[in-house]
Amino acid sequence: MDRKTELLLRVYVVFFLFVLAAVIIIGQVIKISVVEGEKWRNQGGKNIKWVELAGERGNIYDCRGNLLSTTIPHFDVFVDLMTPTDKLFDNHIDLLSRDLSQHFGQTSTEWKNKLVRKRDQGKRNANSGAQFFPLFKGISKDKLDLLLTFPIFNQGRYKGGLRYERINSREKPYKELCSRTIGLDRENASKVGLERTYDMLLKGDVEKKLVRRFPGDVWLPLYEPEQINRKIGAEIVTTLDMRIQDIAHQELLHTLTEGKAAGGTAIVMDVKTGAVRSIVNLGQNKNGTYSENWNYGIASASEPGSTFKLMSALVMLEDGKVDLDTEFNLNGGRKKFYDRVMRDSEMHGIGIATFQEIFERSSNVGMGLAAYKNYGKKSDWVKFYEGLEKLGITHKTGIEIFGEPKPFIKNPKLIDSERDRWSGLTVPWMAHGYELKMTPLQILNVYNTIANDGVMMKPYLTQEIMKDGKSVSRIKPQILNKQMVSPSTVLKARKLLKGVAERGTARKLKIDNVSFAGKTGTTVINYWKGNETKEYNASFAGYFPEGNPEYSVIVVVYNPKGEYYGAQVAGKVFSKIVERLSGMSNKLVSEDSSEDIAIGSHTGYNQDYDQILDYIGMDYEKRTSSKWIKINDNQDALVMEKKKISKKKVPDLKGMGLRDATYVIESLGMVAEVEGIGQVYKQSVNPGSVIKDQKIRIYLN
Amino acid sequence: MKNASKHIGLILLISLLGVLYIANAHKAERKLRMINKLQMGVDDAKSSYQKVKSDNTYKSTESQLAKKLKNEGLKINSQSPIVINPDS
Repeated sequence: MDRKTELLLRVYVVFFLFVLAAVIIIGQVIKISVVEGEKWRNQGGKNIKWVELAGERGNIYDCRGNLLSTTIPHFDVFVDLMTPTDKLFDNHIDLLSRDLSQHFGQTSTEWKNKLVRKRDQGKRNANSGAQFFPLFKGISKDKLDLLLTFPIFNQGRYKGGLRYERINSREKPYKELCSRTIGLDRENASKVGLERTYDMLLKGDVEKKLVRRFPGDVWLPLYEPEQINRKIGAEIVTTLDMRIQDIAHQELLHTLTEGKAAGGTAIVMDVKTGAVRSIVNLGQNKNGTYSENWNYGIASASEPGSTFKLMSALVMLEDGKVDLDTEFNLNGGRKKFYDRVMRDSEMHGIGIATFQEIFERSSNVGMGLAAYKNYGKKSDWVKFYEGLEKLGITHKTGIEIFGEPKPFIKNPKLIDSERDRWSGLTVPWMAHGYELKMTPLQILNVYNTIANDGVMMKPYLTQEIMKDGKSVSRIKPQILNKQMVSPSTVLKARKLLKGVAERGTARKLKIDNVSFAGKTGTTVINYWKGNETKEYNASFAGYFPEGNPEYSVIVVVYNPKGEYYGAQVAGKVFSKIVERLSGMSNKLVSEDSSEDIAIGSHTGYNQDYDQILDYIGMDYEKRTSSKWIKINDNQDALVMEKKKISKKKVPDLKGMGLRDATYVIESLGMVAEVEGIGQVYKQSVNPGSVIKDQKIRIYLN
Repeated sequence: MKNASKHIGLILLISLLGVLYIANAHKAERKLRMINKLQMGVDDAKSSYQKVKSDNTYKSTESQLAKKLKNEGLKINSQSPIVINPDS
């Protein structure tokens, strides 16, 4: 054999081995993936799977950081009555029944009968449902914890048979308060309120994660196993203030219950920003109680009645058609326009009255006549409409809640539209708030604009959106109309509204120390029904404090029985709200402008200062043990130094409190005259001068 | 035989590392399960906290307090606040 053939042979052998290896590998691949494929794939799927982790829904807060809506787990509890042994069950069923009746109602005999009967059924028939006997639905965590301590149930799931299922549900800590506006997040019906508006933001992202099974049936993410927290949805901070909401809710509820009204709404708005601070919506249930069952304030448009007289007055004043002292003949309180008679709320017998008087006593005839004289001609109808259009009240306010209707104000320019057709009666009737529909919020926004010097703000409910505890977007107040009417018209309108509160229909609502302005409204709601008992809506819209308005408020009470005048029913709620709110903030009363004195300039009795500084835990350096001291602010610590008080000379009283100062003065035989409160900043006799039995006047700031 | 005794050190080292590897894997797994268990505890504690807090918020509203304190002789002030103005 020569070298060449030997070499070739070796190459062939090596080559053959390579090919063999390749064939074996390919064979195995085919075997694993095709022949045994099913088996291995099943095996793999058993320990690893994809799961969808739904994010936790974000919370909703009020403007003070109080929780308005949050997700709280509830539990549906079942018991497998076949799990406990006869011995366990028979020995403890009495105790269990007793505990159940004690904490969850029903008598212990009822509980015992129920459980024993079901268990017996289960013994006879495997399909009786005894393995899955529902005990409670939607109980809270603490109730569940309590259940787990009861006899039998405390034996654990495999001996005692108690099982539960966790269900996340939305809960409103404030219960009924503002619930319609905060909204509902429900599965089987459409969502409402803010829960609906911000649904996409609130609900967290759904995350797909690969999880692996660990012994003991625990599933954990395969990658980044330490990260199991879910993506939490955004959080919404609203402009609502639950303290105001609580007050408005209770006051409205009280009046509704008293008058057995069909429902009512009360909205409180921040004048300068348009932030809605509270919105109460109460409707009567079949059993006579009230609950937040519909967003009346935002979604219910109705004929506003006399509260609309402000809008008519604004149009006429702005067009220069009337002034506050323009006179009209009220004709005693009754006037016929074409074939229909317009009446004031009573036959007052007044003849000539000024526009201001007409507004203050809310005369329908006067307002109808004023409008009719200026816009009654067919050719002038459009001008009246355009006047209203200029006020911006033909549009929605654009609040964040779904379902705000567009105000219904007939447009004479749409000649073909049956709905918008004007007649000769339209102008005088519109002027006192009929033949048109607006929501309470839309009406309130006009009053708010007058309170805000003619700047129309957009009412809003959300001030901030947060994600993971950080602010993502802050919502600024928006201006809808920089100047709704001229400044002089604003002033006149404020005069009119102030007059209503001082002399007019709301004069009986006066409150000590707080001034407000507003307009009453009493709307007949079933006037087309002929002579049946009349039904009314009572309303009141206004703002306070009158001079420098902070809040605007509207109250509407739907169909109260008994008293029905706007001032008596809605006005009472309004003035109660104003009265109770005025105690909440010093902005609503005049401010005290005195400045604080820096602690560095205090002078006084040694022991007192020791006690105070020790109590508040401030560091200080004591350089003297004399009776009177002076405190100096020495860079990083307070230093107490001796304060010299001579018996013959007038001391420097600067920085002393009233008690110390009078003590010093009187112990020196002088008489103190005091002015102001706080600390002494000035004295009438110069320090250092010789004491001659005299008076000293000290000024405190 | 000669080779085996020559590599005995290496073999021992590899087996030691193998044992360490297994022990470590077990330890890690135990930790993960612990984390999971604690996380459930945290979730539970959080929900109890929210429940208590939400009950508390409701109970501390003015109207609820007024209801509770009615029998103690306390009620919501029916007078409007008096303004004390130091300047006048």
